[in-house]
Amino acid sequence: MRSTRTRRRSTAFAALGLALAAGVAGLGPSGAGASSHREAPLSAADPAVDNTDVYAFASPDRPGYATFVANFIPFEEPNGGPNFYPFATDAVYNINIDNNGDAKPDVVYRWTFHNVDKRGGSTFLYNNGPVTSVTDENLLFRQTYTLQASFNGGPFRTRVSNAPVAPSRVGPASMPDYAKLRDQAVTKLPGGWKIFAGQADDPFFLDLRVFDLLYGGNLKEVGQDTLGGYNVNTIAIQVPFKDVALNEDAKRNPVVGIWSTAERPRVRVTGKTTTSAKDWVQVSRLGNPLVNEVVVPSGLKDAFNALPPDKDASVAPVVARVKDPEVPKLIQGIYGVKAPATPRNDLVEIFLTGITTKAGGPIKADLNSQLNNADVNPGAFRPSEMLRLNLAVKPTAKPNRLGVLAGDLQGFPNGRRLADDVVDIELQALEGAAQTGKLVSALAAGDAVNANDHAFGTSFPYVALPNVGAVNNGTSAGTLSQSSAAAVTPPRSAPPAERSVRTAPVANVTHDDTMNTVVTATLGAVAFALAALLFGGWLMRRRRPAAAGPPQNPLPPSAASGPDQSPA
Amino acid sequence: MRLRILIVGLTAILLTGVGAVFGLHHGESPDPGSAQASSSLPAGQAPADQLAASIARAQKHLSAVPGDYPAWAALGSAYTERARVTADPSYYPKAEGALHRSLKLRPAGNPAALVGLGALANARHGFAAARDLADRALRMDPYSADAYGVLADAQTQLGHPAAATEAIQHMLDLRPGLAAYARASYDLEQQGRLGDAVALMRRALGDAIDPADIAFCRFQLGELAWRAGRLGDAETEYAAGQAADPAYLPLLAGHARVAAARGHTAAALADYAELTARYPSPGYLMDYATLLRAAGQPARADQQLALAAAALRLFSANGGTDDLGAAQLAIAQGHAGPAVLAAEREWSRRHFADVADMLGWALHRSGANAEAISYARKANALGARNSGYLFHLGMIELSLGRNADARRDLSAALALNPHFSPLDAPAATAALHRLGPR
Amino acid sequence: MNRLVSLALAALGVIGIVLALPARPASARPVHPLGNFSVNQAIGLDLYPDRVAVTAVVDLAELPTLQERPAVDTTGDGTVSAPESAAYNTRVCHAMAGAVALRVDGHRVRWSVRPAGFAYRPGSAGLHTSRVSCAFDAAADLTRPATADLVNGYRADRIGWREITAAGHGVHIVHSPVPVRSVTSSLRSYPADLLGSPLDQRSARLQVEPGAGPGAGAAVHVSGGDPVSRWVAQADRVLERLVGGHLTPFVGALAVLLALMLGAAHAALPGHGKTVMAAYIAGRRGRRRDAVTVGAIVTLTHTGGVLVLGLLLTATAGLAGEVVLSWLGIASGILVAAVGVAMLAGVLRRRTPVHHHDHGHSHEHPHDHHGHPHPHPSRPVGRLSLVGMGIAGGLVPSPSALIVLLGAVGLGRTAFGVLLVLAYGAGMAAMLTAAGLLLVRLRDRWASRPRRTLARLAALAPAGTAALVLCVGLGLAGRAALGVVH
Repeated sequence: MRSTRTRRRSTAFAALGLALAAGVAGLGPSGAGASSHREAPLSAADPAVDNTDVYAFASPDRPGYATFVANFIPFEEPNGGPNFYPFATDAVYNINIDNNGDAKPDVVYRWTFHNVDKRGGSTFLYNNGPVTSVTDENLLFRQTYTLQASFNGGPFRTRVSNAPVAPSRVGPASMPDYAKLRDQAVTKLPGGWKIFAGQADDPFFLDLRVFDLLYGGNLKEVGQDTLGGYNVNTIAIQVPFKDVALNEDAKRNPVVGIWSTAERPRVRVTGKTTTSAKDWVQVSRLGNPLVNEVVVPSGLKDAFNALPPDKDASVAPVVARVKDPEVPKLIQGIYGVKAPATPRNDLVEIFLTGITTKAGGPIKADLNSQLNNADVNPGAFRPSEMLRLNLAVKPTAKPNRLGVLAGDLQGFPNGRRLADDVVDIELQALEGAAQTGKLVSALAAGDAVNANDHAFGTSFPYVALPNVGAVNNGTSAGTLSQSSAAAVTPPRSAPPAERSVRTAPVANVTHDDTMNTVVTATLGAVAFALAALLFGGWLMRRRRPAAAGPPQNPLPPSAASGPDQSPA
Repeated sequence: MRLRILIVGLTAILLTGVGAVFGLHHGESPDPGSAQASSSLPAGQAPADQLAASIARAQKHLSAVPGDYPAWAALGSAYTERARVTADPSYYPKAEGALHRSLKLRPAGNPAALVGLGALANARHGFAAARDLADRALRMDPYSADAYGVLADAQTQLGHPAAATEAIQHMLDLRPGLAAYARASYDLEQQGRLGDAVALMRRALGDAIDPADIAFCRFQLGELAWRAGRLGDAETEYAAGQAADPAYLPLLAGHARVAAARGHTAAALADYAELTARYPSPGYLMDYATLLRAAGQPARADQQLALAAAALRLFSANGGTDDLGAAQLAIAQGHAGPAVLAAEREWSRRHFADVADMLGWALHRSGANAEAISYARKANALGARNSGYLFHLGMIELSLGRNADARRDLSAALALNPHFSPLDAPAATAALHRLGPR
Repeated sequence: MNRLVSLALAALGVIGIVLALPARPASARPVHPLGNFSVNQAIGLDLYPDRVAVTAVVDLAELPTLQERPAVDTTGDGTVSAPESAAYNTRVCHAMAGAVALRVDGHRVRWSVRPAGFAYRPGSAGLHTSRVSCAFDAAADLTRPATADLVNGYRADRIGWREITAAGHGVHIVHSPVPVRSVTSSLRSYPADLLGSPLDQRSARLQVEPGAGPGAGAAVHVSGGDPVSRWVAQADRVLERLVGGHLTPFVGALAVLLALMLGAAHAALPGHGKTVMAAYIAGRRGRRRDAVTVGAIVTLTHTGGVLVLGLLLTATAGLAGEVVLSWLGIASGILVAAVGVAMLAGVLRRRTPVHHHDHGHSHEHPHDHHGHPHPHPSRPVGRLSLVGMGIAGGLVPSPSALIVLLGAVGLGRTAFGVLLVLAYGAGMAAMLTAAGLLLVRLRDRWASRPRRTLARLAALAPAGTAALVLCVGLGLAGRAALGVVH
């Protein structure tokens, strides 16, 4: 308040003031309604194709079957009510498998979704009564999907159509027995296939604040599962090994590479406008977790999302970044843990080729590279970013969340199980633990989030049921009241999905306040100390003249000047 | 005076000690509620407003981690979007500040901040600057769909349709979605392919999540219908948009236009009154004035024009240039000379269809019909088929005595949209009558 | 030791100069930073045991003002006369009273409306902005715990800043979701915070219960122009949080220490008469003792002022803190001006008989204790001036100290609050004394090397500094007066 009362005093600052005035006066035009300039949204949220995670593992309860899971639409709020989260119907969702190492998909499972909307524009409600089955007439809006599969580049054949999608869980009143709805959404197909699409608890567990490391933060504020309590949309498929292995022989060729993509049809405005069903644009892509956060620099994220894996090796900056990552340098700066020497060919092995002895990498183990498939042509092998799973490694009875680094060979980076703590594993890997075989103790705590907030299931699709409670805690008395809840909300009321996972809900941190108190306290302390010194100095001065100063004129007290009589 | 020091020191210690004693005596006490300087959602808005929620989250995050330069860039872009959606210009300086902060933290290799600044420049009509910023961003990140979006908008407004189309195609090839589809639809409309434009805008609507985005798509669909004279369709779309987001202002203008076309003048005037009360932009004020004049209320029309003049003056005072708006206002007020000057200035900046049309009409009003016709022809060639352009061209041809051409163009204007303007449509009809039968 | 002291002085001098520089001008205040078509509203609630009072302010930017003009100038003659203005004011206030709904325990209160002012101010592009003030009063029974729901639906469709503040007088607001003081000083200056969206508080729910003092509302501080005042403002907030929080011995001691530091820090910021003191000491050959004296008096006055004002505000209902502060500011300014006049008078008096004393060296002798044989006229004004200076400097209490005291009192921790104010005062004393001593020292140094030009300057010094003191005093009084008028 005082600062706003203090006005310009010195002319030296008049110039600054003028400059500031000019700067602020450059508020710019007040709104663009001045002419017919049309303003379209630019960075509109597109959560439906926002790929959050991919998992691949040998099914623990069903030997000989592999399970692949892909999640989309992060931060689905389980607030109940009218919020629900449909899959996009103008996009296709793919799980791609590369079993011969050429970075091109050899098997593609493709989901295409359709709306079944009984509301007819007259209501926006999701349901008008309790929903006891996926085809319950009370469920006014639901989705179905068609699953297609393509093998070895062949045409897509439909495996099932109009399969039910497990609906968004909108509350116990509306869906008293959600587990039943979930079971109804698991479709079994001939050949032992099981497929699922629907909402689930977000199985990823981490403290996103770990990534503040990249922006000047440190690893002090950890321990909270940022994604706890949120839901995602899941697509999952469980198939026998032979359906994904090269030459259908999982014994000779046990390694498969996995990544998921979402695609939309290509549109042309130049020449003829066609929306050919054969021409797709990849709008998102995901293989290994956290690659976008940790390995690929922010200027390359768009490139990474747009390119298919077979182009990765040609994007020199990406490869360069893998070989010379930023995080170890930051950790060295903050924690003094020495960053391993570059080039980081061990990371190249983990992220780009798979851990193998056949590519000349430093980690001398044959774990999960397509190069280890017997029938692979090594000349056709291309390094690419994808998740790699060795189907021959049997599921263990006691999985370790630190996966391969803790000796559990079935874990990440050999595929990815739901319970693998990928943040800690990747942190350790970045610090060279994969190469040395020893965990870095200074980072042992990692993000201090070691498990998901819900237990996973023991059978397909393994992901936990969606949450129902509100994510944020209740409001205390006397909060600023929001508007009274509108009964009608638009149908596609979807939640906060950002392009960057980083801007997630964060607990109240008072870094700033503490820092500033410290600064002010230091200032005050310094001032205090100086004042004390001054007193001391003054004291010395006062005493010294008495000890050995120049001779005073022996004036009588009456002639002494007024100031001497000033009150002390 | 050692005593003095002692006293000061002892006092400090004593006070601190007493403070500690207080601590012992007092028990638990409730915390004052945490201060909320950042805004809550505006009353009446459905909680599905992603943009507001993501802004609030980003603000919170950045106060904890102020070094997060991508988040600053994202916040700046979000502020710009919010300014567009709420028509609240107080977000522009915030956007600028956030984007500059991002650049300060990371001056090189920060394409997102450049794209954000480009989007802001577009919003403030700095189209050349926006184009340059987009180019710089693309040199750093050739895969940035957002940069292509900014580039496309700038090139469109600068009057480079081929470059705009190319940029939009890039955008479609990188990230097809609402933003790309909306721009592609506009591009197709400019190319005259209205059916395809509508289809793409429907695709865009399918991808829209935020109420404001749904409203935007509905509004554009309504405009497409309106320009083709399909009043019923336009009305349906505007109504659907208002159901999704009642606060989205352009829908009110659309609604007013439809009401006026149907002859419900009072309702239309009421809509305009509400619109201009909420957002007194020069464009809307001039539309309101036109309708008032057509409804026989010239005094009130002049009042609105005076307001529009004030709005334009403020726009300039804030550093913006809107010579197109100035020209339009001058014509509405009957000052042809200044209109020509303003339109020429704008034409020297960009060869955009609207500008050509305005310059042609201003020249016509000042009597220079021979010069006017070339500009009017340019407008019709550059831009989408538009009753307004056709009407202007027809009237100029009429003044030049080219009756056959005038009849053709004026009829085309009315055929396209018989209600295209409350003043000009009757003028076109009257002119055709005077021309008599073929 | 001497070297250390010199070093310490030099460092303190640097810090002092840096801190004593006026804060960066709050960017040549753009007249409407919220855009030229915003309608901004501030609703200030004052809750008393038996009634509720609302001060409502509406701030219209250029375009809405212009749009409203026909409604104001009903005769259409192009000028707004006083009756037209008053009529408009009344109309707006009644409309607003209808739209601002306060429900106490579900019962809507009925406002009695009093228009409190309508004025045009110059805006940009030659247009005007306007400001409407209204006061609403309603009877309400707040002698027992109650819930008050405020909803402001006035001009809900207009863009603009909307804020709500609430202060309890004789009632205590539990967990207030709104601040006690306006962040914008009632829509006079809008904070430019990159991480804050424009306020849009259209409703608030308050739990009130009988209690002492203004509620411990979350005090929101405006970020000032320069980093230093921003740091200090944030440290203020931390102290307030400590006051309101869970009190352990550690927290108590920390709070006291923080209050000490804050007192020193606030004393270092512009204010509390340091300029005046500097001028006085430089001009009137003040001695170290004088510096110490002034420092002590400022502190005593300040601490006493805070305590008295704080307890007054607590005990008496209906006392508007802002207005009191403004009046104190006026008084302080007048006092300083009086001292300046006295100084000038002294200078003039001394000037006249002393022409032949011009020996070519400084007439004012800095080395007092040498007992120069020049007869110096006695200075009966000296002591009074010192005291006057001290009082003037301390007369206007720091808002931060006041807030801390009121907050503590509101929570029933009166004694703790008083303790904190004392600590604050001690910190101020130390800083002011140090500053004063530094000034004396600097002046001694400077005057101990007399040169021609310096000597002439030194001759002018007394008059110059007297004039400066006078001007500063008038300025202070004037500014405070402006605050009262608004």
